[in-house]
Amino acid sequence: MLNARLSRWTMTYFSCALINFILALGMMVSGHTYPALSFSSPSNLIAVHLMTIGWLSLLMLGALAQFVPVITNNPLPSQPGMLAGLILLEAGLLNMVMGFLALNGSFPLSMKILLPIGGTLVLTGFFLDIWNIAVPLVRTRPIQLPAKMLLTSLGFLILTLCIGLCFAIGFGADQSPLELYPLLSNGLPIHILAGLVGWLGFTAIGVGYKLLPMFMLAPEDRGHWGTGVWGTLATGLTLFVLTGLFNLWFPNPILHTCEKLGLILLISGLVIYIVDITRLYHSRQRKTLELNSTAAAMALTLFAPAILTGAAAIFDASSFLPATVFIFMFGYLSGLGLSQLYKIVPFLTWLDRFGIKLGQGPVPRVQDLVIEARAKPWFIIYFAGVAINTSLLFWKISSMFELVAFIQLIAVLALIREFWHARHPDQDLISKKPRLSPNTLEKISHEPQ
Amino acid sequence: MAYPNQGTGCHTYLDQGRVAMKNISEPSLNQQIINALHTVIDPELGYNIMDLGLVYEIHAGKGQVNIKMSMTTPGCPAQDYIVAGVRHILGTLSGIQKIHVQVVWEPQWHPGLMSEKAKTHFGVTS
Repeated sequence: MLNARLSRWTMTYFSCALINFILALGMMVSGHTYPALSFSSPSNLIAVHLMTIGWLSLLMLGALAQFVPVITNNPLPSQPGMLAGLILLEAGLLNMVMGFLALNGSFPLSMKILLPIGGTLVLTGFFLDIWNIAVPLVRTRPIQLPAKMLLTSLGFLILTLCIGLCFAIGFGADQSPLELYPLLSNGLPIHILAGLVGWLGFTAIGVGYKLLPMFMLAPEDRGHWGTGVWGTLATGLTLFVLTGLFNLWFPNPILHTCEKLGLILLISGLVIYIVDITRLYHSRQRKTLELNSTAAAMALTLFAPAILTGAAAIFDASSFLPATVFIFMFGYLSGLGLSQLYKIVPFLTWLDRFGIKLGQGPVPRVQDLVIEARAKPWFIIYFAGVAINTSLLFWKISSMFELVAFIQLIAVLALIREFWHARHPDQDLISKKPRLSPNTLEKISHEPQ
Repeated sequence: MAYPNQGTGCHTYLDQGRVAMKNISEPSLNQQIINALHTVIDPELGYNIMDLGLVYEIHAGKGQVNIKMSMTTPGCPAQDYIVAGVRHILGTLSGIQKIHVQVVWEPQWHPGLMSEKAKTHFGVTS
């Protein structure tokens, strides 16, 4: 079957993810959320969950639905399962948002019961997708580095979900269960780190380790460096999360020390990753980079300051944590996501529309479906906006934040327009006059000797 | 760029965009196959599979063509389409009734297998 390698629902995941991203940015622009406020304020919780579940998780899950069968050569167990997962996730997220609005006073307080209901729906949706994605991964031998990264990320996703559900039950109940009190009062950093770095970060790194060498013609085998990145990150984060959780209920200086040690290992792993990804860019055979790789480099450049502020946040969380979370979510994760969408959307479109025509006449290249000169300024504006807003958060200047967020929103909307154009190529490409590379045109017109 | 055109020879060399041609009794068929495969592109790189060095071996004769080829990366999403494209374009050549395409991962493809022309196009230095 020709389209056996195509994920049926990936584009739907991407579309839903982008809508949620716009909503989250809209909240920042309208002043309903501000990252330097407490993370547990209801409006910030809405924006954070729109970003983490609505945008980044749906983006990652959509990409994994396409990417995992490709790297494992095993199909997903159930394509309809991916659709069911998406519906449950979106319905759960909607319930959670309404539950947070109840906490905010915008809805009657009794509606906070929607928090555990939404949390359960989200949990079910995630578990359905985890099953779909994990089955091909565990069936494949040997397990390559990207697959190891992805399996680790799914493990942290399960952990994040369990902690998140405890929060939803705690906040949703009229009287929070006493057993959950230590988690509700001090467990948020563990939830944030397990979700942002464990689930989203590991997935981004794993997918990047497959896609970036492929697009740049760089060595895919990362050798000891890749193993070092995975081992250090996984050990560090596991140590931090597990000892951190135990430390909440059974406070102990040894556990506290292990928690700090986990953070130091985590930061070291991220530094090794930055060094290795720099090596990857330097060792590429394709000297002229396409825009998706250039934009990915911009996102990775913002990752370095995120590590620095993250390290500083170990000692002074209140000063450094908002800027760290912001640059990690909007700079690295979202930036990398947008940059790879700029390649994946035309690629999937090519497979959908032109793959069947290969060998039957002229077909365009994937690159013919995009106009880089038009998209490049918007990537630059987006990343500049992230850098400026991170600085504003760091220096605690709130006055310009909404204006810069508005510029970021415009850039994202412009990039979405580019994705739309890639998805809906003009008739010249679809019919008889494709913009072929000179190389292909020359060969087609070349008479057999 | 020169491709080997050696009748019934059985040389195998995969470097720099060259492909092993085996048991081809008709020189014109040889060239027709090569020209036809030049029209099939890897959509991501946007370059034809011959100059990319993705075609490792062509074995033609008695109305049958066997192609041994690879992809730029294992699990390439476009693999099925590229293989179908090869089969389709070769099917249009007169005198060919049977086409067999085998995708192999050993030896693994690397940019060094590209033709000089493709290397120049991508700026590949080594």
